[in-house]
Amino acid sequence: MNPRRVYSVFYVSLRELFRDKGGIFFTFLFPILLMLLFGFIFQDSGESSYDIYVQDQDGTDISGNLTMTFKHVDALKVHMIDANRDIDSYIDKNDVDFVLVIPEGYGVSMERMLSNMTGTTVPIILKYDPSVSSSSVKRSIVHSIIQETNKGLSGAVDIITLDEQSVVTEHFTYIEFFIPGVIGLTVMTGAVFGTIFTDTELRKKGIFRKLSTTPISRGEFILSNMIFQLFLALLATVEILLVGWILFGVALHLNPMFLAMILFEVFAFTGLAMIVVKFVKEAQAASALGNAITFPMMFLSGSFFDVDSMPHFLQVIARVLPLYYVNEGMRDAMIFNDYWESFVNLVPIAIFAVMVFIIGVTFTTWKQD
Amino acid sequence: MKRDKEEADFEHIIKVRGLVKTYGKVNAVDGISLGIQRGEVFAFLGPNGAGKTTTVEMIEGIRTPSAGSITVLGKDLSANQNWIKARIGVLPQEFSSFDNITVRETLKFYASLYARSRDIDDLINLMHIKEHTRKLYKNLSGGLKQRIGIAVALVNDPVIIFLDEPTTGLDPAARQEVWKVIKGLKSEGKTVFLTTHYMEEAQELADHVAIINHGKIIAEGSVDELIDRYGKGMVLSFTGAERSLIDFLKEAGCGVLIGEKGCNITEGKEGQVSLVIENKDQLMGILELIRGAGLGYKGINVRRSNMEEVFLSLTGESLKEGGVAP
Ligand SMILES: Nc1ncnc2c1ncn2[C@@H]1O[C@H](COP(=O)(O)OP(=O)(O)O)[C@@H](O)[C@H]1O
Ligand SMILES: [Mg+2]
Repeated sequence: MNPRRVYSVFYVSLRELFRDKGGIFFTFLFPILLMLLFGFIFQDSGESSYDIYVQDQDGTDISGNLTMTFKHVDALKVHMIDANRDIDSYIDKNDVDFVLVIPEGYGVSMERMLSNMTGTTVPIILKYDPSVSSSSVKRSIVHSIIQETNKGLSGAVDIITLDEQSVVTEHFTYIEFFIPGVIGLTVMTGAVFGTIFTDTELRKKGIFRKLSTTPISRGEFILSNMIFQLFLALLATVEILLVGWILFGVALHLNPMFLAMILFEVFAFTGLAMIVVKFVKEAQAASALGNAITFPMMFLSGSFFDVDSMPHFLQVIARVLPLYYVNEGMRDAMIFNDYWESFVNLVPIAIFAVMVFIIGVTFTTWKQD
Repeated sequence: MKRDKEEADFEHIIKVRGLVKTYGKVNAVDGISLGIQRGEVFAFLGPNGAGKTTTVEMIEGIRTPSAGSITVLGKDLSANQNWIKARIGVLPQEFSSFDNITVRETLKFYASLYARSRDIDDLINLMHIKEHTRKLYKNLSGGLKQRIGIAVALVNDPVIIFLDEPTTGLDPAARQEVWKVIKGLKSEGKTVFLTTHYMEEAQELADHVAIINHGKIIAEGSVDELIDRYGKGMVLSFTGAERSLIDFLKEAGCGVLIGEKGCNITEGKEGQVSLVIENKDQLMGILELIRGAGLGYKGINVRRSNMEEVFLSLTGESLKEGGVAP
């Protein structure tokens, strides 16, 4: 490995691309168009009412009255949770971020208190995620409802009390979900088509033939191309993050796991494209095959929509696609800042990248036949 | 300029023995042996598909021979690839460099791939391309592109330069420019291995020619030797010849003077006609007869026969016909 030769190829590739106005335009326009399109189509349409969840474990007339009170408030949309469900697992599973639980015994304690004005009532439990922006509005609505009710009941003592507990939920908006997807998608298509284009072009021009008569090795060339693709991938990522931040106010976690994800994604798809070009030498056929690989992957790997919402058999397919692990890992890293989960998804993509790289280097040589 | 003493002590700078390259059932190269001397311009002449590129790329080390041995600069090719790579310069067939890179950047790029390279400005002066150094490669004319291609082949100051059909597709003026550059290489003391399907090119440039057809060398020697051996002397041609002169040449010229077998008359348009003759006696005889019969023509030309006739007499085919892409 000679770093000077690797750098020379990298530098010429950069020059070549950045002097080609058309090429540079489409490389960097594509992700923005995608974001604008999907970002605005699926933008959360400014909530007119607030969703809250209520579980009535008490099941008495008194608890029923309280539920009705909430239901009558126009600003709130009340969803009832079945009394038999375990509330914590329900929250976890459904990513519910604001729940009122009326515990068992609430009605009895209330009756006792109202008849002889002694003792205390069983407090109502409020479980909410303080990091969700709508939580504070919902909380103040709930607080004022309970205050009003208390005033009507006694005027002096707070008969109904709240036991507030915070929970952590996985909440995110569509655009937050979409941005890691756009990054994964852009990096994939960039690496696949960039490599296919470079390889077929250099072959056609006889530049590969020429290089094979000079001291540069195929390995040095491949490494150089990967660094070039990585550089473009990072530029596109910065671009996407900036657009996301400026237009949609999205700020995601930028951590080492997310960078590692991009690194391996570039290696994996550059290697894959190299193998494609090895077998399909003609430029048009090669990019058709590139499309055949990237297009279904885009829709099946959860770039645009959560894989969990797809039919079961498609979910099974998704789990053998490298882009699926990229998307999952990228979201674990960028949305949830979850290093471990992200790492779990990084492993398959890293293995895939290494495999493809080894195959790419060993089976594509400078030599003509 | 010698870098290594080892480069100097051997008879042939390139030596090829029994070289074969098989594709499927076809022998693209079918048992070729060659010896090329230091400092000579060697032309590998043959029609399209003859096996020139296949041969030259095996010698460059980028195709693997099916059989045979290759020695370059006294060393076995397969065992010394890197050592040899550093000492050869190649212009591949139909080569075209990066579009959006300037001439100077192009030279710098290829130079950076070698451990030792030649001074770029030196090279620019040598190749007379100073006024083009800031132009993008894609904006250059065809002839200039080939000149840059040759300059690129020189960045490592090679001992041997391989040029695979350097003038194919160029107009006559551009071809002349490239020829000038190749002659310059010879005066620099480089050994040039040139492939071409233009016999004028071989005739103009080469010290040593090998003619290849269907993967085999069918004749080898200097241009003079080849013409002497296979060229049958001279070509007599007329322009604006009367019909009666043409008929006379066909009847009396062939058969009487030369003999049916070796007779070779080509008739062009508008009274152009040419005849291959073997010696001066035949020439004088024909001219006498024409004068005696009072046959008319506008112009007359006698020249020594050239590589075209050499190829024709060797193969019975025209090099030009063979040289047209299928
Ligand atoms: N990679 C290849 N695969 C199959 N046949 C080939 C290949 N390269 C060359 N040939 C065949 O070998 C013959 C010689 O080709 P080539 O060396 O390119 O001829 P030239 O350079 O003299 O025009 C041709 O018939 C060509 O079709
Ligand atoms: Mg050829």
